[in-house]
Amino acid sequence: MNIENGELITILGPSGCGKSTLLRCIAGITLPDSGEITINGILFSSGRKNSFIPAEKRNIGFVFQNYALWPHKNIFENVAYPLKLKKIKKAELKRRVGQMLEMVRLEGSENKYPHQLSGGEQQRVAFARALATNPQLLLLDEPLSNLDAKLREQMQNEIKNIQREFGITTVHVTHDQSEALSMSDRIAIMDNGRIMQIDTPFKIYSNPSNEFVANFIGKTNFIYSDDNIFGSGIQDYYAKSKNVYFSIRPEDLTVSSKTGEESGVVKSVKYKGDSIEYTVNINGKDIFVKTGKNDFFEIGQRVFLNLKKEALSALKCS
Amino acid sequence: MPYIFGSKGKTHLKNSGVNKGITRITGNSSFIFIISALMIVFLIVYPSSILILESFGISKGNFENFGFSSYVSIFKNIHTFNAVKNTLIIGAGTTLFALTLGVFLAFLVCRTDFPLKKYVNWMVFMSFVIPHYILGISWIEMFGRNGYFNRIFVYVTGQNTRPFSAYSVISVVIVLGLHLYPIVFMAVSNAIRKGDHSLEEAASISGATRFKVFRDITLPLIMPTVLSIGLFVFSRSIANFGVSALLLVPIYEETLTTRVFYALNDLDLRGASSVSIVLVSISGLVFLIQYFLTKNKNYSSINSNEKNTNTISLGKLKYPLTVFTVLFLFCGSVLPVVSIFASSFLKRWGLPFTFENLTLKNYTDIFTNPKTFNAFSNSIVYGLIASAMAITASLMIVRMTMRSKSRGVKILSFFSSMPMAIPNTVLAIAAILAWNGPPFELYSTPWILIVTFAALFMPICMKNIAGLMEQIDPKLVEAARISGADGFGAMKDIILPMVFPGIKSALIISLLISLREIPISMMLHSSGTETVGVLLFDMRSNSGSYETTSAIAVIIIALCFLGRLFTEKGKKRRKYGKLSERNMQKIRKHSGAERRQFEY
Repeated sequence: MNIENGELITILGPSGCGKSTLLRCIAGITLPDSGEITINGILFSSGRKNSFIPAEKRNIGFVFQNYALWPHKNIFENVAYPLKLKKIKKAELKRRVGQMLEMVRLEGSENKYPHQLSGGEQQRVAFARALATNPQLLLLDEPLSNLDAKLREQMQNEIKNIQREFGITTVHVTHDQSEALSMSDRIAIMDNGRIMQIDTPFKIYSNPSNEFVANFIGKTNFIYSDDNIFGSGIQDYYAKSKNVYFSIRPEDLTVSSKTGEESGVVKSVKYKGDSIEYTVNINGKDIFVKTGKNDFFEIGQRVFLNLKKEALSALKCS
Repeated sequence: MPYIFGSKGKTHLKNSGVNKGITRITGNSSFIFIISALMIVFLIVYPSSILILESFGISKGNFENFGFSSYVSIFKNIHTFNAVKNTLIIGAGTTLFALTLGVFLAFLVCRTDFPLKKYVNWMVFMSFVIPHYILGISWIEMFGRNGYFNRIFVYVTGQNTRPFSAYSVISVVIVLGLHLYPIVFMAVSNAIRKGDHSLEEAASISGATRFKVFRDITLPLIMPTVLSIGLFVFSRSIANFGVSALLLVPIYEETLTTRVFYALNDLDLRGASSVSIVLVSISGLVFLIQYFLTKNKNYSSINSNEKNTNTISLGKLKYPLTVFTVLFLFCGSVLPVVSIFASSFLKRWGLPFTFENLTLKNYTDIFTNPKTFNAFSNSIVYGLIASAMAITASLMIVRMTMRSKSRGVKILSFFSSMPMAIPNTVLAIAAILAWNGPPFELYSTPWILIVTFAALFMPICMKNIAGLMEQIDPKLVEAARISGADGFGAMKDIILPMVFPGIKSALIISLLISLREIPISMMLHSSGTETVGVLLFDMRSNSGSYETTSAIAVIIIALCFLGRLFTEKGKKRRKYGKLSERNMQKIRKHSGAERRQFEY
């Protein structure tokens, strides 16, 4: 796995897949069993050569899931601590902390203690602390998971802005796919300690490289050759190779009550506000379809489905 | 409808926010309030007030002798001055010793790759279970003139000098320190384990070396725990009577507690009560400081389910440290038991260990001698009645504190935990003053012991029951009410079963205390009402018969061990399924209360 300078890469995977462990290995809190970690050409940890640079010598910023603000230090001291350890002079240290707190819009809270701040504010302090020493790498361990939905969206933008402004290479771990899609330059999908695919969010969504990725990001329909549906639409692919199956996103299908490639019966309806999700049964196979907010069909009604061919993605059978 | 804990009272309690005060609690809840208030006044408030009055020369409404003369004489008396000095030295020394040992071991077990963690836990548990008086006896058996170490010395060197002496202030400090360090160990390891590891990780990512992480993060975070447990150890060690009586009185040294005891022996009630007040003032002050410390600084964290990966490698120090620790713990907790156990089989203390000198007679005597049998049954019966009283009162008071924040209830719960700050000797003096004449003549009946034990057990029962009661989500009771249970039914079917483990451990701990308690028993017993404590104390001081004392001690140690195992087991079963985050926080808040069960 290679991370480019200045990019924000998100590691996404189900809980327990090893994404936090990976982050902790990069930070130097956890000792990896094998493999090598190199940052800016310097070998940080190598199982083979038995070398390991401890966390305190790596100059990395880390934002914890629970922020890990020290409860016995006030906000100023929390942000100043990493600088103090670098033996930075008092005046410079003060200026730098002020600058950091200004960046996260918390100037004036220097003398407060962590428990006097709200969750969002605590998180911003954690960011200020992580960035205070101008680290070469910023690691984020699910920093948004403790916030409520509105605040989370706001913080997503803010993190992205800060990251762009500093141009700092960032590794972000999350299990929230919409967060991953909206924030990242690239996404790495992880399962069971293995990286399944690394790509831009667009490619991950529209062109998943295997079933796990297709299934993990968004909803999808898998169509196999023996399902015998949408035959005309996917004929070209079968001509090239018989050994494939297809993933079709629900929004890449259109529904109409009059004509279409395949016909089926509406089995269930989920009204979502900005869209409506239908389950349509075609020859005994359930297909998920997402329509516009005004396309009303009733349960039991016969409908016709059409396929946007350019949206098809083929997966190799394993 | 028997609305004993019923909703009628509850609505009143809620309204009472407007007009705070005792009189506002009306309806059936006021019935509960009056009963428990009467119990607390009878058990705690009345005796302590009489004690205070007596120290100012006011007895039985007679103001003629009013004055500060007894206080003045305290400070003129060189013996009392000496006693204060010894008490403070013992308090400070024991605290220092117990803190050093406890914190060191806690770090070793929780934070390093020390190999024998499990055994350390067991040995700590063992020294915790042995009553300090018995530890003191084994100390004499080991280091006394005729003790094992002196005999070994004579045997090995062939000289006829005996270098070890069991009696000194330092001995008291060591014995009490060995008895109290487990409390420090448990509290500090709890704090370390529950601490949030990401706080330390954040520091090392910030660039802190391992030493700086310890100095800047770990230590400040556990400091509140260390301070408050240190104050607790201090107040326990100045309240101790048994060990001082064992190891200081023979060399004509005194502490405040022994001073109270011997003032009473000289029938100087007024002197005894004024020394008592000095003693209570010191320990009251300590408890006050502790209260404010724990109130303001609580760093317990919410997210701490991550496994501790911060194990520090001991490196080259590993084996020296292991050997040192094991040796130390062996001497501190295994040797005393071995010495007591060995002595209990000797025909006569001081005889060499040969086969013909061994006997089981010391044990058979305990069961055949009516005096010893009587002492055991007295201890158990008094303990049972007293703990029943204390548990009933605690149940009522804890339930009231949960539903009402009225001032009356707060005062009640304050007074019920007050005996925690009062040394047993002082409780006994207060009892003598309060119950030796009209209107309550309990002196020379078993009831004076029972009533004083009940006061002694009150804080223990309160803590054990409150800890569990506060875990109960009020919604559980509300759900029972909605399902159709009346107030009494909800109490019986929901609350009681859920706090039952707390009641059980309160009962066991109380019984164990009544089996080994010495000052109250010594000062309040009369012929026929002797308890095990009296037996232990008298037997040793009258005849110096360490072999019979040892046999009794072995039985007490065994009982304490069984009781402890039982309560530990109960603790594990206390968790009822998944608890909400709010309740988890409450439990964490009270996990500090665990150590308060280790009363006495």
